[in-house]
Amino acid sequence: MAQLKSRMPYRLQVNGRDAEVDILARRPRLRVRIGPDVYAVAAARERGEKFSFAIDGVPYHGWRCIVGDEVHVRLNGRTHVVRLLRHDPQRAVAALQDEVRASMPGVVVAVHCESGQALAAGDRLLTLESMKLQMTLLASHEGTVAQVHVAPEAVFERGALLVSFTRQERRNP
Amino acid sequence: MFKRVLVANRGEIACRILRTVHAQGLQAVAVYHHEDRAAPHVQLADAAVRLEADVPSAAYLDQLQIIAAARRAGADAIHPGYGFLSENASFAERVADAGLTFVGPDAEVIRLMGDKVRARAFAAQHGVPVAPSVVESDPGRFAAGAQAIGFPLLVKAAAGGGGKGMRIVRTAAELPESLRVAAAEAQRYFGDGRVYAERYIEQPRHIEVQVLGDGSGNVVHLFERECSLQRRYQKIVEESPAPNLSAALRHAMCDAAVRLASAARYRNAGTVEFVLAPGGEFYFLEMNTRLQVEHPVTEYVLNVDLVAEQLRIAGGGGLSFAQAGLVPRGHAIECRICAEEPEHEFRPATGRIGVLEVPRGPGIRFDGGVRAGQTITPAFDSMLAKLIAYGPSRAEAARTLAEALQRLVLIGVPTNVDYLARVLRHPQFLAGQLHTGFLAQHAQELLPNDVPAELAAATLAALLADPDFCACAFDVPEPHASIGQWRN
Amino acid sequence: MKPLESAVRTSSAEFRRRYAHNQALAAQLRARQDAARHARPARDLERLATQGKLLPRERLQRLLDPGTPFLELSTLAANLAYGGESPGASCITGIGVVSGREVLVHADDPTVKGGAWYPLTVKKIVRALDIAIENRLPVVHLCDSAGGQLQLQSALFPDRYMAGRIFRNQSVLSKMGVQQLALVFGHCTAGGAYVPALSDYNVIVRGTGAVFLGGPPLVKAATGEVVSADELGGCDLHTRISGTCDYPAADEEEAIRIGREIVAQWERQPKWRLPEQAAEAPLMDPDELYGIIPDDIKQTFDMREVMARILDGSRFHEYKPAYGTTLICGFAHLWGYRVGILANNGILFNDSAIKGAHFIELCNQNNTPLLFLQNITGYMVGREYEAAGITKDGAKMIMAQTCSHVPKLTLMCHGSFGAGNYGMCGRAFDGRLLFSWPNHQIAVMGGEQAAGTLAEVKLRQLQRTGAAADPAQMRQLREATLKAYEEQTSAYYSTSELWDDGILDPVDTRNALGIALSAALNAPAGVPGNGVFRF
Repeated sequence: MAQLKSRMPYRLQVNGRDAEVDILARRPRLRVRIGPDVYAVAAARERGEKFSFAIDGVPYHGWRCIVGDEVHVRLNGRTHVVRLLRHDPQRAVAALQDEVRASMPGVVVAVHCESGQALAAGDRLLTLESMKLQMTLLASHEGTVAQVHVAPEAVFERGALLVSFTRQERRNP
Repeated sequence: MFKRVLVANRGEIACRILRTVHAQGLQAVAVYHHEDRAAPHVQLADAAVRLEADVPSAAYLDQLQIIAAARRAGADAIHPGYGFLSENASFAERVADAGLTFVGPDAEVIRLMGDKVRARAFAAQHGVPVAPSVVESDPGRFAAGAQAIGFPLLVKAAAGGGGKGMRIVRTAAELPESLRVAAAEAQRYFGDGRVYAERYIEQPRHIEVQVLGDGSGNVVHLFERECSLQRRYQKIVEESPAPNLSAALRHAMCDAAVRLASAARYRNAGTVEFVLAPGGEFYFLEMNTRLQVEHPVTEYVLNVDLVAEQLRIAGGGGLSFAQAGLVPRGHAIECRICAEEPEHEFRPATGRIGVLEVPRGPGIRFDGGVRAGQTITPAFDSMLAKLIAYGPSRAEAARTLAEALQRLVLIGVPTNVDYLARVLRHPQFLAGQLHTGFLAQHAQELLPNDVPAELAAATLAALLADPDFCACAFDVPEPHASIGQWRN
Repeated sequence: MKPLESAVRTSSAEFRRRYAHNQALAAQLRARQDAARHARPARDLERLATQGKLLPRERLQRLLDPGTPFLELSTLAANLAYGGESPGASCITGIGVVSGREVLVHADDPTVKGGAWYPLTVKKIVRALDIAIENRLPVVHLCDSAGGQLQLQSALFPDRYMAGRIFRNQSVLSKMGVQQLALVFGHCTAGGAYVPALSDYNVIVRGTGAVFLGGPPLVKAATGEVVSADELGGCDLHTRISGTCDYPAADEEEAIRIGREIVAQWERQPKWRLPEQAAEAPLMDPDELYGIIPDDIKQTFDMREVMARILDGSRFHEYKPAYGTTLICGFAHLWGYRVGILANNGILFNDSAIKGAHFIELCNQNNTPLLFLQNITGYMVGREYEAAGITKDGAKMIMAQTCSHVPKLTLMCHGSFGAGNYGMCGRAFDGRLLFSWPNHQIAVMGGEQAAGTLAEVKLRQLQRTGAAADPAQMRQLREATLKAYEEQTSAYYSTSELWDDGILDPVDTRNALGIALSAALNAPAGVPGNGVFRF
C-alpha cells in the first residue's frame, strides 16, 4: 500500500529504547508489527496482573503492573519496562495561554516574576487581591515571560493583561 | 526467661526475629514509624507501638522512646536486630538500666569492638593477625608510618563501618589530602573524625566467622561465610561455606575468631570479619557485635536458628551446643534484593510494589519485609528482602537460587533481581573465583542481554493492558475485522 | 441450504472473450479512480506541504483503525462535470472503522481548488449525511474547505436539497442521538462554518484551522476591518474565548489522536441484527465474474452464476423456483447475515412481478434485509400482457418494495432500463446504498430503442405535414440520439451525477456489500405496513 507513511503506530519505549507497534490484521489471527518484525498473536482481552498469550505459537505468561505511563512486565525470569508514549492534551491547552488576564477586577499585591525569566509549570507569577480574597497566579505551563504589565499596588479591571509569555513556535507535523 | 520481646527494628529482619520469637512461644512487640504503619512486621507482632519522629529512620534510633515503648507494652527484653541501635553501647546500657534484657553483648564489648582502633589493638594483643597499619594523630608520624607499611593504603574511619569513610591511597603525595577528606567524612557520618590506615590488599576476599558466646568465656564458632561480592562496599551475595578455602585456612580463621571472642568474654552472637589476601594471609578487619544480615546461610548449613540461640543466651540459658556438635553440611547462598537500578550505578530506586509472588520449594527461603502495594521511599534502606537457597553442593545451591530469582516476581519498583540472577550464572562465580572487586571487574559481562522475541512479548503484554490498544485490536466489528486492510 | 451449481465453462470462447472485456473495464475503472484520488497539479500538493498540512487521504488513513477496510463512496462523482475540474467532487466520503466503531467519514479535499464546494460536492455530502441518517452511522468530518464555488452558487445554495440540506441533516442526526465529530484542519467558511458548529464535538488545529461565517476578504469588503484568518477565527479564539471549538490541537496528528479518543468514548448502539452464523467464502471464485458478465448490453447471463460468486458458501435457498422464473427470489447469507435476494434473470412478467411482491412481503415478515441484483430491460409489453394486468402487477411489486420496512441494497449488474428499475429498487426508492458495475447502463429505454422510437415519432410528424423524410436528416437524428444515450447511459455518467453510491470492480462486490449490510443494520427496521395493492 502506498500509504505506508500515513500510518499512526503506537510509539513506545522498551527498556529505554524506542519502538513502534502497528496492528496489521485481526483475522484469522491478530497480526502485529513490533519494530521490523511481524508476529501472529493469540491473545484475549484480559485485565489484571497475570497475562498469558502466544506469539507465533510460543506461549508466554507472566505478570505485569502499571506504574504511571510505564508497564513493568515480568516474563521468562526477566523484568522489562515498557513506556507508552501518549499524547498529552494539556500540552496544546497550555501552549495557547500566552497571555494571563485578570478574571475579575482587583489590585496587585506582589509580583513574583520578571521579563525574560524562564518558568516551569507551577511557578508563581503574581499575588492579587479581589473581593477581600488573595490569590496567587501560577504559570500553567513552562515558558519565558515576555513582559509583566502591572506593578505592586496597581489596580486593574476584568480582562486586563497582567503577564504575557513569549509566543510558542508552531509545531510542524 | 523473658516473656515479651520488643523488636527495635523494621523490614525483613524484624519479621524474621518476630517469627522465631513466636516459635519460641514468646510474645512479640513491634515498634513503627507512621510511614511503616502498614508494614508486615507491624501486622505480625502481638502488640505494636508507634514512634514519633520527623524523619522516619530517626524513630528507630530514638532510644528513650523505644525503651518507653517496651515498658508500656510490657516487654521485658529488646532485640535490636542489625543496624539502627544494635551496636550502640549506650543504648545497651540504658536498656539494662531500665531493667530490661538487651538481646546482645554487654555494653563494654560493644564499645570496644565499635572503636576500630581499639578493636584492632585488642585483636593483635590476642594473637589475631592484623594488617600492618598506621594509627597516628600527628600527620608527620602518620606519613612516616604509611611509608613503612608501603602503598597502596586504605584509610578508614575509626568509628566507622559499612564501607563509609574509606579511601584508597596509592601514593605518598595523595596521602595528606585523602586523610583530610576521610577525617571530614568520618566526622560527618559517625561524629568522630579519627582515621587510621591499613595496607590495602588488591583483590581481597571478605571472609567472616560467626561466633556465639555465653558471656563466661565459652565461645563456639559456626564456621565461616564468604561475603566478597560487594557493590558500593555493600555485600549483595553471601555464602557458606567459603569456596576454594583450604581446611587449614578455615581452621586458622575460625580459631582466631574464637580466640578473640573468648578473650572478650563475648556474650551472644557476633561475627569476626577478616580480609583474605590472594597469597593466603588473612587479617582482622572488624568484629560486628550483633546478628548479621547474612546469618541465614549459616543457619542452613548447620541447621540452627541463630535468633533462638540469641534469645536463649540472653535469657541466661547458655550455649545449646558444643563445638564438636557443629558439623556443616551442604552449601547455602544468599542474595540481597534491593530497590535499585544496576544499570545506573546501582542508584537506589523508589516506587510501589505492584506484584509480589514469592518462590517456594525445598531449599528456598525468602526473608522479606515488604508486601504487595507497599510504597518504597528513600526514608529507609533499599534492601527489600533476602532470598536464600540451599543445596547439597555449591553448584546446586547456585542453580536453585538462580531459578528462584527467576520465579520471584517483584515488580513496580526497579530491583537488582535480574542482575543477581546473572551473577549467579557467571562462570567465574560458579568457579568460586571471588574477590571484593568481582562485580566491578565483570560489570560488562553482567549487563542484560535482550532477546528480541521476549522484548516483543513484553511489549505485547504491556499493550494488552492498554484500553486503547485493546479497543483497536478486539473491538473492530465483523465483517470489517475479517475483511482487513481493503479499499475499493 | 445447498450451494448453487455452476454451468460456466471457463475454457469456452465466450467466457474468455467476456473475461478480457470485463477485466479491461475493471482496469479502466481502477485507473480512473486512481487519477480522481491522487492526480493533482504539483503546486496544489506543494501548497499543502508548505502549510504543514497532511493530504486528505493521509488524514483519513491515520483516522481509521489500522488493518480495517474503508468503503469509499462515489469516488468518481463529478468525473464528467465541470470539465473535470473537480475530481471526486472535491471531497471523500465513505464507511470505515474508527476506534472499533463503524462511522461515516466525510473529508474535504483541499488539493482540489482549496476544497471549494461545487454543486456536486454539496450533493455528495448531502447524500453521505442521508446515508448516516438512514443507517444511524456516526459521522466524522475532516474539514478543510475554501467555501462554496461562488460562480456556481445558484446550483449549490438556494434549493431544498442544496447546501442548507447539509446543515439540516446534521441537526437531524444530532436529534436522533447519532454522534458527529468535526476535525478542523483548514478553513470552515460561511456555511462551512456550520459543519463544526453543528457537530457534537470538534477539534481545531492551531495555526491552520479556522472557523468563521465570513473570511478575511469578505470582512474587509464588508466593514473595512483587516484581520488574519487566525485572528478572525483561529484555534485560540474559538477554544478559549468563543467556545465554538472544543479541543485545541498542536498539529494534525494530534487532532486525529484526540478525535480517535473522542470516538472511543461514544456509546455503542446495539445493532438491529447481528450475523446469524459464521461467514463463509463463496465456493466459486469471484474472479470468474469477469467471464460471466456479457460484453454487450443486449446479451444475457444467468444471474445464479453471479450469486454463486458473492454469497456465503455459494448457498441459496430459492423461493418458488418453478414460478415466475425470470425473477429469482430466495434466502442466502452474506458475511453471516441473512438476506433476501431478488435477482433479474430475464424481463419481468406478471408472474415474476407478483412473485417478487410476495417474496418482499415474506422478507418483511421475517425481518430480513433485501438485496436487489438488477439486470432488467423492462416489463413485458403487448396486449396479451396488458389484458392480464401486467401494469397492476408491476404496481403491486413497486408498492410492496417501497413499503418495505427492512433495509434494502441494490446492485446494478448490467442494464437498468425503464420501469423495471422501479420495482427492483432503483435510486428513487430509498435503498440504503446502491452500487453499479462498470458495464452497467441505465436509461428510460435502450439507445437503439430510443433512436428507433424518436425516428418513428419524427416520421409520423413529417407525414402529418406532408413533408418528405430526408434520409441524411434521419441518419443525423439517429446518430445524435445514439451518441447522447451512449454518453448518458454509462455507469460513469451515472456515478458522476451521484445516481449511485459508486462503481465497484465486480471482484470487490462481496466486501462492499458486506460492509454496506453491516452499516445498514445499525438502524432498526421501519414501521411495517403497506399501501393499497391493486389486485
